[in-house]
Amino acid sequence: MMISLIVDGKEVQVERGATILDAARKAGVYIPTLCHDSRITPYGSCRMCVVEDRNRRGRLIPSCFTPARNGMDIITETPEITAARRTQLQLILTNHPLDCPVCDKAGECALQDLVIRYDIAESPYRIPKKDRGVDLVSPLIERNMNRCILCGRCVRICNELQGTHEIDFIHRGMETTIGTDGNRPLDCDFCGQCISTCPVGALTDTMFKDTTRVWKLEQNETACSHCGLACPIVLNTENSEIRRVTPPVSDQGDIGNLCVRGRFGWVSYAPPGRLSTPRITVNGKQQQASWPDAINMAAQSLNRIIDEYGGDACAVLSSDAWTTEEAYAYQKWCRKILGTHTMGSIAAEGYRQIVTILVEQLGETWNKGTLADFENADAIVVIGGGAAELHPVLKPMINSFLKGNEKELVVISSWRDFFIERATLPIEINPELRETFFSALREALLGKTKHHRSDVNDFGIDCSALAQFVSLLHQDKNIFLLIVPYLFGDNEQLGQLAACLSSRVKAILPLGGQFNSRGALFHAGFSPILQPGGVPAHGSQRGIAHADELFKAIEDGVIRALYILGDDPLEEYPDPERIKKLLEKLDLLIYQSPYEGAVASMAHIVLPSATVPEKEGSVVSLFGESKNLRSILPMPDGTKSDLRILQELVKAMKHVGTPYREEIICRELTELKSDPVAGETASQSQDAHLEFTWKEETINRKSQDYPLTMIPIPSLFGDGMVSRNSPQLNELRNGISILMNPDDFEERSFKKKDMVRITTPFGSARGSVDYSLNVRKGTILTANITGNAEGLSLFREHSRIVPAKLTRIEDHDC
Amino acid sequence: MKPGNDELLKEFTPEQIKKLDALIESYKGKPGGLIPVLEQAQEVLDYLPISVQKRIADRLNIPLSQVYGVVTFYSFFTMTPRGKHTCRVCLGTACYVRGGKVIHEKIMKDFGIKEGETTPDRLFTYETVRCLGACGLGPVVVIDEDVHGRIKPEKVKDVLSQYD
Repeated sequence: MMISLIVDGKEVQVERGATILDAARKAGVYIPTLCHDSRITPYGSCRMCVVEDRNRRGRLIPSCFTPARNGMDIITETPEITAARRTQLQLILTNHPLDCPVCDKAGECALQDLVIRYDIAESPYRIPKKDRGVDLVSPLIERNMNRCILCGRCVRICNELQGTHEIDFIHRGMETTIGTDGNRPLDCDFCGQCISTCPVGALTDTMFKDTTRVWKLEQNETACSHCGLACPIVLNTENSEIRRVTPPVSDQGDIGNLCVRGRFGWVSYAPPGRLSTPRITVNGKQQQASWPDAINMAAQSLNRIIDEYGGDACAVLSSDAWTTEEAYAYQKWCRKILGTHTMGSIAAEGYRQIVTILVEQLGETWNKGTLADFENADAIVVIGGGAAELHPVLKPMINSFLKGNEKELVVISSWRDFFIERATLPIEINPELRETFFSALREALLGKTKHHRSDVNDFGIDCSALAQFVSLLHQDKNIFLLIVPYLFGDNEQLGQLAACLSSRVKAILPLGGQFNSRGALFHAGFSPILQPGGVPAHGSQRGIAHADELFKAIEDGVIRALYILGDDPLEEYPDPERIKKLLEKLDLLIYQSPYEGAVASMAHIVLPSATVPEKEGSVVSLFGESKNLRSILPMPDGTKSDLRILQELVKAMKHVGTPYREEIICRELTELKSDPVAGETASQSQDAHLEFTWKEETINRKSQDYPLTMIPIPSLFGDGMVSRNSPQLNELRNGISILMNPDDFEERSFKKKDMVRITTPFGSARGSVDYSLNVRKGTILTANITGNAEGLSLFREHSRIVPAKLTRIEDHDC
Repeated sequence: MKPGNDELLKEFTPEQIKKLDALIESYKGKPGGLIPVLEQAQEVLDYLPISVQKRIADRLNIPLSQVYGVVTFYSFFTMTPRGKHTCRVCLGTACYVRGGKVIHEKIMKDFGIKEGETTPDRLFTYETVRCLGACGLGPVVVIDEDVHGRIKPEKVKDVLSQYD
């Protein structure tokens, strides 16, 4: 219902429940605020936003948390209001150091702006300023409590939006400050949301500290390439060098959400020590080469393999950290010139597996969902664990979602992740029985029970929880389904379950995609099963769809040439020993990336390419938002964009004509259906599609030798190639981390952060150990595995869970 | 036994920890349970170090920072061990002018502790108060529940030595 009121003589209509401040912003009237952030619940602590209602004169109302009422006649500036605001500012200044010359916030400080606006030279109250201390120890975030005005925005954003509650008001009274328990250094997500919301210079970015002044910065909006959410970010540059990353701020003052990767992981956009010269292998040794030599060698080698073995012997892998135009150009090259349909991504393998199953089961279109679908859903159902760990901005997104009226969150997971802790209906399943449960649930939903006569209790699930879930599916509710693939392993059961729920949900969104996975698959058709425009490929139009099959084909000598773009099978796939051996069998291995990955040293040809902010083109986020990127950073000497490299390669392969020029690629892309992925969810009508035979899973179960079940989980600090090339994120990852149940922890007499040896039937690695009440007994959660050869050796191709044992590393063992 | 016990066991007996766990359990899931738990925990354990707060936070599923915020707010809660006896000197106007200040300084000097601190032998915790409403008896020193009036600075030690 709308209500109508007047703000400074302007009539404005707002939704019932909106505040006076909301109404004023809508009317385009400025009201000063310090403690207000539209992302969190109003608090009313700074009293800058006081206004008056003409109908009730003589009363100052805080507009940020007073609901607007019909017929209000608001005035925002009168001598009384100005006097009140001035007094308020003077009181704030009483205890605020005027160290603006050395404060990073100067120039974009809300307090500074208001002091100027209200013409306050100094505070008339002269008492000694309190020394409340500066935290210089915590990584990435500096907390100068002397500058703090106690507005509480950081406390509220950390608690309400991020769900971390790392900091709170402490020593309340005359000595109030904001800090952690016992004033220890921060040990949190390091999302930096507190920095983004701080109106003054109390919370600042240590990477930015003392590098420059904010007014010298150029603001360049682009998309973050650390994961598939591709959140909007602002690269703050000075002389074309990145100084910091900030979230975008709307005209209304709304601040965007970012995570630790987006805010602090920017060094990998222009990494020091990046690849900058092509290399070729001559007589078994890599040596630097000129671009023409490297391109010619690549072209000749590829032509020779096509002639000898056919195009089918080639495969291309990408990390999806590229533009849709590039992905389109490469798939066109694969299909038209190389003659192969085998295009994949190790980094986004889980996402691609789920997509493959959904395309096979549901055909051309199913509703993959948009951000609006997510926000407007009645219920979000998440199947699989680690959604927020894969894509950390989902944390504030889900917490905002749950603030809505009667919103439901159902999470089905085999471990207690961030989402399941917040779920209105958490369904935790025994990790060893997960696949069996998915299969049984799917058959029950389809009304078949021929393979299973299982009892719910066998899975350790609360019967009523499951009943509630099934009843939710049958209600007339708007359900958004998120599918979270495993870090490693086979996602067949998960994908089949998702497909079977398609008729009951509004949208199905698979997670785990890299930067432009959705654009590369559904728009560009860089996929063995999808053609450009998201059209499914059939029969001989298809290539090898799964990484395991691809590696088998390399082992069998079927695939002779592998072209890798940014991906790294040695850093992201289980059992690197085996992968290394099979890659050695290849006749041709081309590695093209901005980064020196583990596989670079094995490649016959190494081609240095550009990072995302150096490129131009469009990308599509996992939520289907299309974004146009412009080149912000200059490409360093010796590197070329993926598209440019392809153009030269095509020329060198003696394919005449110029079908790979930018404008042609762009035109061809726009001629495709504009949004091939939208559409109503296809219901599963053809029974033929449903046939799927259930194979009993052969997992290694825990035993006396290996008494624990290890679940590999995604790292909050990023598992992808871009994140792994940030020194700051690597420092936070700090090697393999193992989380276990307090009882198991105590039994082994471990201490927090002890270094331990983790051993599985396949390998062994070192990691630091900690406990959490959220880990079930007999289970351990292991994170920060990618990019760590020891860590990857703990697993085998299809091992989504692995039995393990832990032993303390004695000092002499180190 | 849970991790964190090592730290707890250094200071407290297994019986005390058991009592603590039982009282946390009795408030689990009840809104507004934090302050009663802290109050009773302090009764059982005498003081609330971070290790105790962490145990309460974990088990009541409340962020530790919030527990710490509450503990540091109420002057009733203490994070350092308290002495067997509490010695309070009145520094209200009447006591102050009648020699309270001298007593205050003498106690600090004799015992080598400041206001709010506890003697190393944990016999006395020293505090000051502003007026006990017994101005006629000033200067007043209160030890536990006993009020000692018209105390001369040189008598303070004698009075305190009655307690052990």
